[in-house]
Amino acid sequence: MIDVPEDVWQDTVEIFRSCGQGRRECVVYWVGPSSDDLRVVRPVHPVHTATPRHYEVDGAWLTQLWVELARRGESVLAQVHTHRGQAGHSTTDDQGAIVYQAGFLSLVLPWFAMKRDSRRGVFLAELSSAGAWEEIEVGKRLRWS
Amino acid sequence: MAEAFSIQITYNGITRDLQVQSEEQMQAVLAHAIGLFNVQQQPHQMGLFTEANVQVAGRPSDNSQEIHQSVEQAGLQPGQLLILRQSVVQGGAA
Repeated sequence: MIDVPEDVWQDTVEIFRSCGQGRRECVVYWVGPSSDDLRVVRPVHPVHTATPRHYEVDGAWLTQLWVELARRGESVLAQVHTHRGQAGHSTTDDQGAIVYQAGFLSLVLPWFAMKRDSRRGVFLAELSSAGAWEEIEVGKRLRWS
Repeated sequence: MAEAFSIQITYNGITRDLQVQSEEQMQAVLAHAIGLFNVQQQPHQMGLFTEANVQVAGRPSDNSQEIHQSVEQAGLQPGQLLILRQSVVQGGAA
């Protein structure tokens, strides 16, 4: 179970709204200690391109993130991004995630996170030990704190 | 005689040592790195990069020819840190 503090959630939604402007997708990575303490300490907003139906993270930025995480003893605990309409996990999402280890989580927010209650209608996928993304109830993996 | 030495591979905040040989192909190093971290992505989607973001193994993000070179040709040094990551990280409803 990963703890997601309220301020992390609020910051995440604010990033989506300010970056995406209700017109483009956006992505954030939830980072926390590389330990058994599964607690998100900050959202990281990558350098990325975006359209209404796609985003792509800058490769050089990702390389530097990996170096920074190693130095800080932190890991990406989950990736979070928006979709224009209802939330789901597309083929592009399946194949383009930032981490491919069993148990990694991918949370998708609908409507560019512009609705008042952005938690409503979210879609959570988990990478299985067989390497497939499977839908899972939010309450089974994320704890809002 | 091939020279053997250790390099470091980092993936999502965890860094591990990997023994390599100067004549070893970087594709083999990439495969070993993927195994070190139990990464479940297809190998052709992954790459090894220097801290300066120079790709030394895997298929480049422009989907051009896969990189074929030895450890020596890649210029790896003992103790050098390499970044294991997806060549392209993307998503979306498209």
